Amino acid sequence: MERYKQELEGNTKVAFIHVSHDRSDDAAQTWAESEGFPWLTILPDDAERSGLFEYKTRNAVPHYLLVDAAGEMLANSSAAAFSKIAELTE
Amino acid sequence: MKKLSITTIGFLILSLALSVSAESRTWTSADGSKTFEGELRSYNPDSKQVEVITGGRRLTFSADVLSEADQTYLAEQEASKPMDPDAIEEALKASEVGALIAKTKLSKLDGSRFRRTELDVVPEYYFLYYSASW
Repeated sequence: MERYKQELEGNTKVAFIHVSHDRSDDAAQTWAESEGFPWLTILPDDAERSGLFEYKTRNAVPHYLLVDAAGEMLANSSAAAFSKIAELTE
Repeated sequence: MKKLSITTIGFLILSLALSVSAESRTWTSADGSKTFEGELRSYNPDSKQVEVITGGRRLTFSADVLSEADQTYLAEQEASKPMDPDAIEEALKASEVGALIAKTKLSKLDGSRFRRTELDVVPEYYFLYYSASW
């Protein structure tokens, strides 16, 4: 979360979106509240039909992806994604 | 002492707010030979028409007659304007991922509860974080 705040918050070129795999919206709510998540979230009830699961390259969580607006994969790990963003938006 | 009506007080507060929000600046001609003070009222980046209030008069002219610094200022003012929500939705729908986001309900913590929200920008990239508490 610290890295998000330092490197992504306020960057209008990148939208950080948490696609929740929690069992229910209530479970996601409890977790988000306890951690104080600052980012945009797609709650479990909406996540399945969002179509964003199509971009996943593995089934385990947590899973981080960076895609461009056309859906092209640019990075598929947290470190690679942050590095790529720094390169693309410097 | 004469009492002011609520309407009068409201008008005074509004006038003060408007006078504070209007930013007067020194505008300089393209060749640097002339300057004048004025408040920017509007700028159309497509037609390059600038509207400035100076000395109570409204001036309309092309941004081309202004200095490079003034033209940069105009561009920055334009870029800092919040986008219209309908324009954002249309722009999002023009891309594959944006279209998915546009039709999906986004939430954000507001205090202790999630509130529905929408993107207020059109991102070039999406950092997707798939995760769960379990």
